[in-house]
Amino acid sequence: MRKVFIVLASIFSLIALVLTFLPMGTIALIPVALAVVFSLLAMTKKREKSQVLPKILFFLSIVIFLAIIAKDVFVKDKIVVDQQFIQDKQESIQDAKMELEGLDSIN
Amino acid sequence: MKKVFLMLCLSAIFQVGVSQIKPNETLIFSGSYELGGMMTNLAQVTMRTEPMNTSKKTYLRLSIEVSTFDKWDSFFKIRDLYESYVEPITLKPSLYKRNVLEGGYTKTEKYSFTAAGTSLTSVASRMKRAETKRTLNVPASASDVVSMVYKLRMIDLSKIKNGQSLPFVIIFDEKQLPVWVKLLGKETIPAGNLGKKECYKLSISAKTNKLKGADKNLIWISADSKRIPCLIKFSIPVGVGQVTLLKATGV
Repeated sequence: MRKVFIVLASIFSLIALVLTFLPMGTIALIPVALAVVFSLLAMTKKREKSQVLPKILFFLSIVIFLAIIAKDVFVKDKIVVDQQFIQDKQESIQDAKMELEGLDSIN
Repeated sequence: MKKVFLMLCLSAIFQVGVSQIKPNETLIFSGSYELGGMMTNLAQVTMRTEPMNTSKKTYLRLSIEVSTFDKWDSFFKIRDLYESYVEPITLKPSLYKRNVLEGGYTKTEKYSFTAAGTSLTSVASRMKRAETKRTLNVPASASDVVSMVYKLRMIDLSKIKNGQSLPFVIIFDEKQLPVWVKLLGKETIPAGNLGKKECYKLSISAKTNKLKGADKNLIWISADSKRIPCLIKFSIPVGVGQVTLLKATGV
C-alpha cells in the first residue's frame, strides 16, 4: 500500500509540475493537493521503512503549491500589442466606411 | 386589443433616451472559462463605442473585441472582432461585421441592412473558403448580437416586473434567432473600478442549442443611469464561463 501511495504521489506531483508551467491558472492545485495527501499517507504507512522518498515528494508538492500561488498572485494577465490585429481592425473600419457610404446612397 | 396593449407596454419600456449609449465609452472585461471546476482567465473582452461619420450620416460604431491573454496565445489564440454600425439614438443596425480567429478556425460575416431593416444582405466565409452571399428577410426590429447587447442597456428595467420576459430577434450565423430576456431581480456585485454596484440580473434564453440550461445565461446590468454590464455568465455546450468587468472609462 505504501508503494501505491508513493507512485500516486509521484504521478500527481508530476501532473501538478506540468500544469504549473501551462497557463491553466490554479487548476494545478487539484493534483498538488492529491500529491500532498498521498505523500502524507505514504509517510504514515510502515514508519520503520525509509521516509526519504515520501518526504521528498511532500516537500516537492509544497514547493509546487507555493509556485502555483505565487504565479497566480504576481503574474498579471495581459494581452500583447498585436500589430496584425490592430491593422485588421483599421482595415475593417475603412471597409465599413466604404460599405456605409454605399448603403447611404442606396437608402 | 391585447396586442395593442402589449405594443404600448413595449414601446414604453424601450423608450428612447431612457439610457443613452455614449460614444467613446470603453469597457474592459476579463473572460474566464471553467477548467477542472475552476475559473481560468482566458481572454480580455473589450466593448467600445466610437462615432463614425460618412459623407451623409453619423453612425455609432459598437465593437466587441476578444483577445486571449498572452499566456494562452501559444496554445489557443483568439482574436475576435464583432462590429455593429448603428443609428446613434435608436441603435438600429445598418452594418454588422464579424471577424473570428479562434485557434486555426476563421470566419467572417458581414450583414448590410436595408433602410427599412426588413431585409439584409449577408456575405460570409469560413476557413478562407469562397464567400457565400445571401439575402434574408428579417423583422424590422431585428438586431445583430452586438447591438442587442447595447439595446439591453437602453431598456427601462424599472418598469419591468421580476419574472417578466421581453422578446427580441437577433440575426446570428445568418439565421433569425428569437431571444427572451427575463428580469430575475436585483443584486449588488463588484464592478471593477466602479466599486460595488446594484445591478439588474437578467436571464437570456434563445431557441438554439448554443445556449444551455434554464437561467444559466445571465447578465448583470448596473441599476443606475449608466447601465453598465458588470458580469455575464454563460453556459454553452462545451462548458461554462463568465465575463467580469475590470475597468469602465468614458461612461
